[in-house]
Amino acid sequence: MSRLSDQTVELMGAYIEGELDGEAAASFEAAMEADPALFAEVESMRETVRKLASLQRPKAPEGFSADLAARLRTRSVVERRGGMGLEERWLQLLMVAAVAMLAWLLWPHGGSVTPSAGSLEGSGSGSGVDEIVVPALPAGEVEIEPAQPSRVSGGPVLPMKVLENRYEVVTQLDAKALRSELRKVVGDRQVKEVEGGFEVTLDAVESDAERARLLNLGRYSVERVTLPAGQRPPLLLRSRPATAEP
Amino acid sequence: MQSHDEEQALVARLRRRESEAFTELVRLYQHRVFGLLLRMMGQPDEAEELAQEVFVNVYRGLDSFRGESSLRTWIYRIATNQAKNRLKYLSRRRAGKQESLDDHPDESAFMPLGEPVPRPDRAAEGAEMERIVSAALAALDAEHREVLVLRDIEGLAYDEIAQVLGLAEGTVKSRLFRARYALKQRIAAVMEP
Repeated sequence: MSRLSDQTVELMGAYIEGELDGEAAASFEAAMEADPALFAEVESMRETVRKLASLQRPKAPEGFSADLAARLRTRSVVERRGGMGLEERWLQLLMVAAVAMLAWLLWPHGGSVTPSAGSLEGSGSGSGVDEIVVPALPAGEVEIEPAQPSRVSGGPVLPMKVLENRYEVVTQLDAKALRSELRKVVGDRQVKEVEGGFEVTLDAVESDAERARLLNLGRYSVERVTLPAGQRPPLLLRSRPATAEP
Repeated sequence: MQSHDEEQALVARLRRRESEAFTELVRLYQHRVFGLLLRMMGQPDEAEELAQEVFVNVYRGLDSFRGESSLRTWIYRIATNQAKNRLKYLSRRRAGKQESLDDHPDESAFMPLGEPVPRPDRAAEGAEMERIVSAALAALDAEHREVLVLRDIEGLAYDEIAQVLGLAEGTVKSRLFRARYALKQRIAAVMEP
């Protein structure tokens, strides 16, 4: 039988589910009687539903609960290190603190950030943190959103992303300036040019301060970056998107 | 499945942060959540990781659970959202390669997991059918896949699916019927010589 129209498919589905009222059901049955191909389609559709219902139910892997308990404990410890309760969105608050620190560092008494022309101007004040505890890589994409971007002038602070297999920071630098900044921090050997930016192997960046400098290229401002134990994933620093700033 | 009263009691215990209550919740839903995510993602590792995150989100979001939907619907909603976000991310990442997520379903992920049965010929036949149906399901687009899994595998009612997916009930039905037809066509394409 040729492909059925959407209308026929929906009518057939409603018939199988017993959703047609008496008259509509009788009419559909008459159509089936007159058209063996339609009857065969209905039977085949019923069989498909039966096959689906009989699929085996996969079980969660052994140790799922134990792994979950460990994960919750780890998150809890990380959150306590940030001085926040379990239910709070610690990542967001961490970024608030990072933004405040950026403002503090950019104040005339200086800091470790090396701004590039047009990239890191800003002013403001406030207390900040001196350490960012980078969360372990989750399965999904987590965006660490700065909650108060308006405290920094010169454009929005873009979120740091914690992806499946890397961290990602969108910087305010164009590709050339970014390359130049990276050279200053880690040299050439540890930098790989990729589409849209540069990938830095954090494994090769041993110093917390150097890692912080990398992160600060994305308009964050921290003095140390602590990576999760045993994890040295790459950091992708993206050059400034064309539409990010006027 | 839990009765409404049992569920309310469990929710109350969860809100009091009784660790045993959370353990019970995980025991009740881990296989369902994992199964749903495995069907959505196609990769056991990916499904396990996402399932873990679902329960972390459930744990964190307990205070915001207002009980307007059932606990089960709420958990499925978190799980489907998690899967959608992940699929979106993977699709963006693969866009440059012009590949679809569905091009490479891990068919081995859907092989039967039960104990061996005494009739090898029938077992082989059943396993082959399971593989064909699973692969056809994995090859559907995500919108069709999720509605089929929720309705025909997990057995949710239309109104529950509507809550999980944030759709009108009529849209759920229409999408379900089209999804079943798409699946039937895919299975037929494999089965017919």
